[in-house]
Amino acid sequence: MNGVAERSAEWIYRGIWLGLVHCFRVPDGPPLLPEAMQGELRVFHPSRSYLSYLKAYFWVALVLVDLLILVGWIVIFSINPTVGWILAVPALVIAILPDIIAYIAIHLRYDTIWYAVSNRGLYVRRGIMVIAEHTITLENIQNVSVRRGPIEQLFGIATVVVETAGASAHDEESSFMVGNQTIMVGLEDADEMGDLLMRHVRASSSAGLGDDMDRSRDRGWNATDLELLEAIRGELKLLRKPP
Amino acid sequence: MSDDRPSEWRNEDRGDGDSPTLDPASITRPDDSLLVYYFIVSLLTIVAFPVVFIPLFIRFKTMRYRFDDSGVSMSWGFFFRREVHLTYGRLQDIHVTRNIIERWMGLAKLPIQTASGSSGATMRIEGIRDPQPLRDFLYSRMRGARSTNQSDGSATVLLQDILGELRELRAERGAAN
Repeated sequence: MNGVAERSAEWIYRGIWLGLVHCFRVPDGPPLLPEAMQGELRVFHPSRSYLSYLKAYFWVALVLVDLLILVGWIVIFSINPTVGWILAVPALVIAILPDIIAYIAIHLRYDTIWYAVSNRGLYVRRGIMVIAEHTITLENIQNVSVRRGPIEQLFGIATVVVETAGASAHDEESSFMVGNQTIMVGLEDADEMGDLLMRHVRASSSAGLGDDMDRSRDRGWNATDLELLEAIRGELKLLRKPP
Repeated sequence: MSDDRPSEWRNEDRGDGDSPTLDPASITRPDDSLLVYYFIVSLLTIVAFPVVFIPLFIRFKTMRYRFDDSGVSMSWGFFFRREVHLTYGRLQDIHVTRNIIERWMGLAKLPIQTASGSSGATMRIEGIRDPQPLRDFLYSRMRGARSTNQSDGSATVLLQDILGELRELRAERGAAN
């Protein structure tokens, strides 16, 4: 019985998803990434715990709102039972319908968040009504912060906020649509992600402000080159003083 | 790929390879359907329709883009003319946003940012049909998008050559002595 309910729920969800894809042009499947972003590319959703985290909020809100509706209805019923009976059906609809919509919205929200990290760039896509994509190169990262609220700690997830030197969003604008913050919510491995990004930032020889590529590229020697330079020094010493 | 060519040429070649279908220089005007989008957006304000639509209409009519080798310029306005210039190398963030109306019409906005202190996007490229190739083009020109291994490799080869020459020189001198 339980299996049937789950399967039909999945079918309904898939139907809604197809409706969104066809009627509202929500892109189906993983995002198209710039070709230049290859190299250790990892494309992923937030952690499953993020879904549980959203649902925890959902259940708390559901219990509070439905309790309020129930108390209101009982008050009306005790004052005037006839009006109470008439209002029973609308009250039930008000109590249940938004819950279903919210529950589906939570799943849609989760499924439309995509992250992609390579050793060159970072990409985030999110949104259903407004689809916002944000692409930056790791070279341009100025700082990485990891934020954890009390409830997030409970679920073992965190939000990684990556900032570039770009202009910040206006007050009335969502920072997902414009601005210099790349916000990655619901990451289980937030610390590793932060470390990974910061490693790239430390390895970079520029300030990430669009410094001249050709000059900064040749500035550092790698290990092989240094070894060769030492060998050359050795050769020159031997040349000066023949044995 | 030979190493003796100037690095700009190599960049050029690779830039073309990244977006074979798009010639950004061909984008000079927003797509015509942007006017329809502006019209719909203005209609949504109901009473304020003329106040909202007339500036948007002028904006649409006067909007020009110029993508060249080093950067992009955008100008708009009739009474109040604006021009924005920026170079690809100084791009910090590339966003692509599409709301429902824009998606229905196949349009997209690309707010792009440089490291200026102001708030809001430096340039809002609007009315772009199929934003993917343009996004890829801009990304591939951003600093740090390209691999640096190429030149590291050439430096290594050069050092190996120098070392080889020195060893030969020493061997010759040793033979002469």
